Amino acid sequence: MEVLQRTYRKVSGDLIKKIKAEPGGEAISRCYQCGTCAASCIVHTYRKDFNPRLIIRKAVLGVENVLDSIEPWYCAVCYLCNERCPRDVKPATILMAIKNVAAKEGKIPPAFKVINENVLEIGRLFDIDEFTNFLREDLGLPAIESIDKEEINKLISGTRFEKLKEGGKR
Amino acid sequence: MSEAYLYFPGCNIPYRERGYEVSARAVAEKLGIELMDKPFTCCGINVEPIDEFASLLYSARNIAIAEEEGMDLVTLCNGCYKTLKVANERLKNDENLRNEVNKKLMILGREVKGDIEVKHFLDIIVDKIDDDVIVKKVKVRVAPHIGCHAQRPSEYVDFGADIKIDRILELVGSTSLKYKDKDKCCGAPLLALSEEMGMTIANNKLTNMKEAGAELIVTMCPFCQVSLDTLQVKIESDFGEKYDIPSMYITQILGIALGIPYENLGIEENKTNPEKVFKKDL
Repeated sequence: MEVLQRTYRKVSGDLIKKIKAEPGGEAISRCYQCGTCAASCIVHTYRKDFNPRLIIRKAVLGVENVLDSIEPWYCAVCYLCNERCPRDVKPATILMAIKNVAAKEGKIPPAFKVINENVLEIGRLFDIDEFTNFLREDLGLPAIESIDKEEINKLISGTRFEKLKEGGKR
Repeated sequence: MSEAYLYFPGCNIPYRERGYEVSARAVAEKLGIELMDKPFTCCGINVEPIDEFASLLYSARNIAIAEEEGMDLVTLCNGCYKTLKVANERLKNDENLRNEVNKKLMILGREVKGDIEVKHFLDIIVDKIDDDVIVKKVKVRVAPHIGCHAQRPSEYVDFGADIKIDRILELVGSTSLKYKDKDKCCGAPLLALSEEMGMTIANNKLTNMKEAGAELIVTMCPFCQVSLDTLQVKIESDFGEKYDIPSMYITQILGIALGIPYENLGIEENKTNPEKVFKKDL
């Protein structure tokens, strides 16, 4: 008898449960794999490995660990697939859920840690220092005040976002 | 009584896209709209992929500050608009979620009650513009780029931005061009993870705009402007293309038409120079 050749192997039984526990995650079971998401996706046009339909397929069946893959993080979150999905799966939202599950397990690509370093510390992506405020003043713009760091600390205390600090700097 | 809003600056605009803010403030003043300032954090969009709930906390703190002032929030950035608008609607409509968020905000002495609105700047100005306030017509073939988050997710954010930007361009005297993949992403969200991928997508957009015969690009989001303006020269050199299509904010082209002096619209802050497009009119 011929042996069935397999490309993928089953690695995870409970991934689907974890995804469904995230906001909007339940909808993943409605996917009937039509591929409207991939056909609509500008990222997929240039990066075939980024395929929302395939990521959802793998996650539902638990073949390959999508949490170990960089692909979900390539979603530009443009929501075109969410608009077009005939099953209202909202693929971009499912990918957001997958990223959150991965982050819970400490699997965050360095680029996403780096962009959040300032958000963690000073509450914003960029530090508006005295020099930037001089530039603003020259343009007739009001100075941007810094935010009380203690308030940021309190706001995120106990969240897993706060734990990014423990991961240390680059 | 003049109309007043709390201006939400976000992260990008005050730091590196100041021309948008300069022109928006000038346009607001001209149209009798007062913009107030408060120390806001990031809207939360950067946190979302890592911790959806923490992202909501950032949004909620900003919303709570607006509620303390009893004023609606207005944003210039599509990313901030989407993030705050979705958070605001979720917090208004989901009592359990609101209670959970308020448990955290209580520690800061703040609370979200759900009694303000989040609006995009384009949305609050469009009805104040008519032929009476336009003093200068600018006849330019424009490729408008709306940007994703002023349109999607539509159940939360759609305010007819594409129609409204076209309405303004028409009043200004310009022609709004249709082009391939107009509604698609500018590439900016991918720049942090892969600059090459982000620029590939931006290059595609610039190609489509050029094919449609655009003389000028008009944007309404600082991320889109970074893709199409800041990176245009680098894209030209990396991809071996020639575009030379200046990109400016809707508030800048509108400001010119409203008679605000060219030099008061922060246009010199842009990386591409639209002067040649306007030379014939100025």
